[in-house]
Amino acid sequence: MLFVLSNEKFDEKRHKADFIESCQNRNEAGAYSYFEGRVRNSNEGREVEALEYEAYSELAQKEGAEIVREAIAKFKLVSATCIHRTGYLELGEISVWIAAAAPHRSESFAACRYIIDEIKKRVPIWKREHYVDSDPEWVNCANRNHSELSESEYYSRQFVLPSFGILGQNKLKAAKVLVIGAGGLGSPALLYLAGAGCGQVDACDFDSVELSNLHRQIIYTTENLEAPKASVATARIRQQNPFINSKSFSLPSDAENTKVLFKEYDVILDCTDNLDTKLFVSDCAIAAKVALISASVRKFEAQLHIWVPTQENSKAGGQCLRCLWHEKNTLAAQSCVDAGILGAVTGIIGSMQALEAIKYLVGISSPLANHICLIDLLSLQLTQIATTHNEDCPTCNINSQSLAEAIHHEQATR
Amino acid sequence: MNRAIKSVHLRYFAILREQRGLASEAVETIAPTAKDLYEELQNTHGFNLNCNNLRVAVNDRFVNWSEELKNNDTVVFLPPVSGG
Repeated sequence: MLFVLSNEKFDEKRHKADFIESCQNRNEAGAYSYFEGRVRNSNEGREVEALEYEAYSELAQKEGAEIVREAIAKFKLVSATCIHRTGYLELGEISVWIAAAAPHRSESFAACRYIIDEIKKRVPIWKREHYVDSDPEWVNCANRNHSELSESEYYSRQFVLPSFGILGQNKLKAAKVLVIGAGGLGSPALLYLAGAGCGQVDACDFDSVELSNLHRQIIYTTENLEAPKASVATARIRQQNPFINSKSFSLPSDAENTKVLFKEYDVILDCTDNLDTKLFVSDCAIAAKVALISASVRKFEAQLHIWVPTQENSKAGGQCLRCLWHEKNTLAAQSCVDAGILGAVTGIIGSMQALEAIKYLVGISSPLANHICLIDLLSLQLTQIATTHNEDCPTCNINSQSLAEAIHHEQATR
Repeated sequence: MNRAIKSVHLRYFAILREQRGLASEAVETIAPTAKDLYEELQNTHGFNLNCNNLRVAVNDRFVNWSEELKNNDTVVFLPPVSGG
């Protein structure tokens, strides 16, 4: 056998005897070399207590045999073999064993070296190191492009902020944010949330990139035309910050599943462009008791609304988006298509959403909680209005009923 | 480009198996090439390794990322190896 994968503890005596026997009657072999790889107690300064090997066995056998065959031809060997372990190995155990027989020593030594070097490069076998003082890791699987980059340098200008520091950074790293709508508001929001180092920044959007989006949706370029927005946007922010995770998907169409999805997040950013969806997102966020930062823009004006779960809110008497607006207002709410919009306007407001999310996650309190902020970017006036509880709001008042019933109730009373 | 829907069998190893939470699955895809399929999966599952860090095998054979996928192919994305 040229190459063998084995999940059994290595029996040196037996394998060596087998190899010598396979070379019998080949008296031209004057040099036998052996190489043993064993499990070492440290790697790159970390204390290792055990190893695990996993192989894609079909391809590993093929590729391993090919390497040994190459060595035999290249070094004019009499014979060669390699045995590689899989499974769990203790310190000191043999993980790989190579034998090469040649007429002269230089060829048998060189063949062992060639085989082990090529195996490490080409054979689909993966090593997971178990450390004394931390979780196990797959060797070589850190993103190679970025493994040389320093995470602390990436955030160095942020660390020094007095209200931030390493504690704030760690809170962001642990945070999960969902951005709904990857358009004019979502573009800057996604980029800044990623840049700030929110550990998981996911995006939902069912649209594709159109030419008329590009003047304000700065996460896209002309190369992305017709591509699905959410997946382009998440790929872009993974490049922006290699230390975060990001994925894209479609928002479920029903309230129960959306509520279950929202429960996985710490903050939801509503960056959508129509009131119906905003009310749906708000209802689900409140049912899931997850913070919601909602914004809408019209020409040079915008509204920013923040709902955070508090003890007060979780009883009856919240101050949600539906306390303010109603599906009936939909007709009055003009979209960007009809009203026109400047990119800098959605840029500012989307950035404000990202900033409010960062403040909430780090624990820097915001005067905006339970207020609506009216922003006029023509006159540069900013007005905060306290929101009050609306006794007729079905979302805030019907705690005993399920969300689906509440929405049903809302639709029935329209 | 073959944008027809095809069914492909996927196998995951090492870190990708952990990030996916599965050792294998069957998926339906319109991705014409191995690269398109990986990017689709990366977006869905948030794999942290990019194509340029991986190799791809179709039907137990290493192939280029531009390999066109066919119905019933078995596709494996291989993280950087570390045998020995």
